[in-house]
Amino acid sequence: MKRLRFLFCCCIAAITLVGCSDINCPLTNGVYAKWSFYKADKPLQLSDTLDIYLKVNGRDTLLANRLFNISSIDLPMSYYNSSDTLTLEIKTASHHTYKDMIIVKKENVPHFNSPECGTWVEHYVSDIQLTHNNLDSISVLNRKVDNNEVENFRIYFK
Amino acid sequence: MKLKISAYILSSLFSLLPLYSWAQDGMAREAAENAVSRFTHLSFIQGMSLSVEVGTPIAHLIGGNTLGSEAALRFSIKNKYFPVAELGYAKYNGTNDETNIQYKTAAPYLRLGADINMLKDKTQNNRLFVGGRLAFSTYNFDVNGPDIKDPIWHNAHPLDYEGLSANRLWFEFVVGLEAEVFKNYHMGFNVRYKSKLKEKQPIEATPYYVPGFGSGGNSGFTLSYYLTFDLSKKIKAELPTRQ
Repeated sequence: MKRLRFLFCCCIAAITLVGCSDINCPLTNGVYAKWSFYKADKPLQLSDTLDIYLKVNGRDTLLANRLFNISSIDLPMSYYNSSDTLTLEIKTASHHTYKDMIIVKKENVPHFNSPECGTWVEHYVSDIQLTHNNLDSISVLNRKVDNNEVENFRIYFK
Repeated sequence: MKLKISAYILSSLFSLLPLYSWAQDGMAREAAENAVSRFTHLSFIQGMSLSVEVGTPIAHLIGGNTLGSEAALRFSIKNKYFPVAELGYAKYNGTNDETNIQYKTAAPYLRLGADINMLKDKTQNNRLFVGGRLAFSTYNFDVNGPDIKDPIWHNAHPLDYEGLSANRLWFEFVVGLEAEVFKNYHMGFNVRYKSKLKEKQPIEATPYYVPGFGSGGNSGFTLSYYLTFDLSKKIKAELPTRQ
């Protein structure tokens, strides 16, 4: 009888182990590219204000306004366009304005995670082109843009 | 989750039947164990048996999304070691109520491994075993769902993937009980801890349900309930003559 009770408890423990499951969805399904600012190989905290525009359906749309004292920013990417165009406008304290354009060419892949967590669109960057008014270069650290919050690009200012 | 728990509770209620038989036989045999064990010599090959997993079909009947079964061919070496080969087929077709995403797959899987009978008396027909398996499945799966809408650019495309291929190699650690309820007929259940070793998956999707492995990521527990038939069996015990 003792053995039967012990075996019954084992059975209940087994049911509990296999009956429970947890769903580990990411906090957000949003996918953002992480852009960091650098100058001469050192992280840069912008002392000038920065406006960022995104070209949406042919028109420049203000995405971020009067950013100040930042060293990085997370920006969305279009789900289905083959390239995105960003415009960075820096206004200095001496009232000079520098505009630079960044064109990011990419491949977009809708990614299924699970029926509970849903889907998101991941991007694989193939090429970046930029103007050089205030920008020196851009380096690609991770060409895959997903929801893992890793640094993707470094913008080197002049 | 409610459906998964009720399915496992019902299927494991059946497993209580062999437990009672096992406990009664165990108590009777314990009395003779000390006297017999020193004098028992078992022949090397004890026979082989065929098992059929019935927990999954039972769970499907009460509304689970998975359908399938598996058969296992098991050899008995001195009633202590049991090399085993398991071949199964599993099918999954489910739609999530909140996201309306449907996931569908069906494929066979293969497991090879061995169990060890942990009971002291190897001559009895009940077993408490622990074992391991190496398992593999290669499969295609489909994912369909509502349009994925871009909130900024306001365009949308449907989620529609068919025939994505993947495969998985995994390891299982098995603990189980088995009791003879009629002559040459056993019932038993086991709990398996499964852990992924290697996987190939497409970039478009993370496999949700893997045939033979189940759902739930890279590791997890499953409960199996099965019926076993002894195809051939001999337990030979030679008692030494006393002078």
